[in-house]
Amino acid sequence: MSDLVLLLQRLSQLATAPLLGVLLISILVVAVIRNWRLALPVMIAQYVVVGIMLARVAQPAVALIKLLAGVLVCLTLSIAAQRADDLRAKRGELVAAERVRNPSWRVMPSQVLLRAVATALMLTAAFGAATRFPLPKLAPDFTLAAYALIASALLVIATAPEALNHGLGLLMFLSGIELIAVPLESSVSVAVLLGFMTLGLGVALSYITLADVADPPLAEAT
Amino acid sequence: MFPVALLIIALPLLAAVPALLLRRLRVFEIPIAVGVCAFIILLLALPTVDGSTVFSIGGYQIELNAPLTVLGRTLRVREMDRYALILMFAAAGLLFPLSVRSNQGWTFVPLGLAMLSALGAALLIRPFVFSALALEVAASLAAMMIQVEREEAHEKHRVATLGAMRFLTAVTLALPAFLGAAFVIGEAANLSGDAVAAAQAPALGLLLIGFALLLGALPIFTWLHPVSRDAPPLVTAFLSTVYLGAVTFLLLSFRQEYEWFRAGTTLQGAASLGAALMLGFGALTAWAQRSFGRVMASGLAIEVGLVLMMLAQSNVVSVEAIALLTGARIASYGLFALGLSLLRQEFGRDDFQSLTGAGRRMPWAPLAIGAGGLSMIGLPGTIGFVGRWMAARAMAGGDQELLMVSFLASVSLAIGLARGMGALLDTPGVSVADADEGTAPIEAEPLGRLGTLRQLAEGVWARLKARALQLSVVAPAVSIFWLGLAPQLLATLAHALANAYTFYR
Repeated sequence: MSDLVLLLQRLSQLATAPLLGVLLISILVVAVIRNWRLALPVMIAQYVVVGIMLARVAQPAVALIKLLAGVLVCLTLSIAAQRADDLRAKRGELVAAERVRNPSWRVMPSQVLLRAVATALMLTAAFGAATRFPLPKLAPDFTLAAYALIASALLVIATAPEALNHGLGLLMFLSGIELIAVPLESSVSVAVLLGFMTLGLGVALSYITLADVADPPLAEAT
Repeated sequence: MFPVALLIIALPLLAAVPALLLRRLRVFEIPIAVGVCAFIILLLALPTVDGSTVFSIGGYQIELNAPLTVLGRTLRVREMDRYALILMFAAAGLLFPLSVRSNQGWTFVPLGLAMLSALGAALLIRPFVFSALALEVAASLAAMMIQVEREEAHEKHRVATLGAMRFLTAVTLALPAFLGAAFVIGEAANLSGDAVAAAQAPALGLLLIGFALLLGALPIFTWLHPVSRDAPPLVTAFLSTVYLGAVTFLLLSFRQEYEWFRAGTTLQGAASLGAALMLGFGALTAWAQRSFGRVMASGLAIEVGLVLMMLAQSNVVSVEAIALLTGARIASYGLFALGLSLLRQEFGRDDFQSLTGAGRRMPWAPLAIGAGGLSMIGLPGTIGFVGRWMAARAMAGGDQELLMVSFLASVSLAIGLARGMGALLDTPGVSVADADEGTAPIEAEPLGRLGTLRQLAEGVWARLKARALQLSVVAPAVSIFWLGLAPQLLATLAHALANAYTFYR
């Protein structure tokens, strides 16, 4: 564990720009692509970046809790999503793996483009807000990262009908809040509890993801 | 010496483990849950002797007001929390047994106990930023209670994830409001003079947004209708009494503790606006609902509106009314939910059209829905009326138009309920008649001695279950009318609760 803390401490000394770049790309991918096989690995990368950023303002051990909780949640969600896909496959529905292998180019661009435009607008709004309404006691990169995460999370929450993607929006929202709250909050316990909150939310989301697919199609039920 | 705060948090959590392990055996699961609730109510209700809050049980010294320190934060049972907790645990203790004959999914009792623990922590812990974190934990648990697996609960009823996700989203969105308010208050503490009030102003706004999201008042109906449609009915009743009660009492304790929160008229104005919106929408929509789940949701929206209407007042009667409204919800929504649950289990749906004539096949369901519904609309002679009457008294010097809107909302709900009851007691419709055709005739097979014994045992169990159903419908129905005519017990609790607060004096 101490090696991990040390590694995180060293990573936190990296330049800000690449971290922010990776974070923005990860936000864009999660907001635009609704396939869990692509979105969940990107979410893991996002948690690593958020963890490194948190390590710059809080004790690395506290930041590590967030990182590990995030990675654990993504792994749990991937298991739930895989089980959900198995159930879908049994019912003869299209599953995530097939959508990655054989993308339907005729259908996809309209949805993806719309989401990409909406996400770009939200990120622009986040950039504008970061420059016009900087948060007290926060570095500009932190403010931008937090605003970008929150704005895109709200977009995902508002537009994703599936429980899994909606849940990813909630997790991103929580990450954004943590980027604001941890540097401002003097109490370590708040930061630790926020990290554990990610775990709790992840368990609930995994459960709901499974329940979502256990649902019969509407025509069958009525 | 044990602080009662520790027992309030630890006991339900510990009891959740055997309840989870014995989830298939409701004959054990429910007594465990009810026993824990009863024990905690007993601890909280024990009278103090000569001002001392220390009492001894089985050689253990237990102190009511002793602080419990966790991660440097203090949890303490204050006088005002004491009665609020009694009400919450009583609600849970009365709702759990109603699930004996109507399966609410494996999550209902174990996660309900864990949720009680989280909500108890939310009420007891300070500073308040931790209350928000505890509420988030409770919301995660509630989401799993709402979203039970299909086979476990109402088998033919379509389950969607919208209700669980909306509820989880609303509570998660409230979290930054509380965190922001805590930061603002922390910063204001470093200032002095007039600058303090100016610095505290944003905190009030943030907390109002946070509470509005938690109560389901912002955006209007955001989770009430989806949860009522998707969740097992008793889970909705649990959330409407235990969860909404906890949030309401948390708001009251904020008013009690923070002078900046109750100063000025912003809180009253916001509560009045919220009440007008919730009651207005309830009045406009309740009469037109076409399913019992949605009637329940409309009733809940009206209840939230009534609570907000009382929060806009600052007198002892308004606090008593809040306690009475919360207490009345236990019986009225619990019984209504039980009836709805029976209908969903039997017919797989709850819309009026599909249930035409269903009441003739299942007389207990219309009885439960009818008695619970009458109390929901606040008919004189029911427990629901006691809360409404107290609310009307609290509004004596307040906004009479708002009171009229609340009355219209009740009338609108009564129309919606009457339409549903009319359909239930009508001549059987096609879908209800179809339900009979699916049952295959049971072929008689020769039985050995063991088989005969097993059949006998099953017969006894079936009779016991039938008795349990009768008891779980009749007991709350009788209590609705009995407490409606003689509400002294609930009124005493409400009076004690109101006297524990001093902010209105």
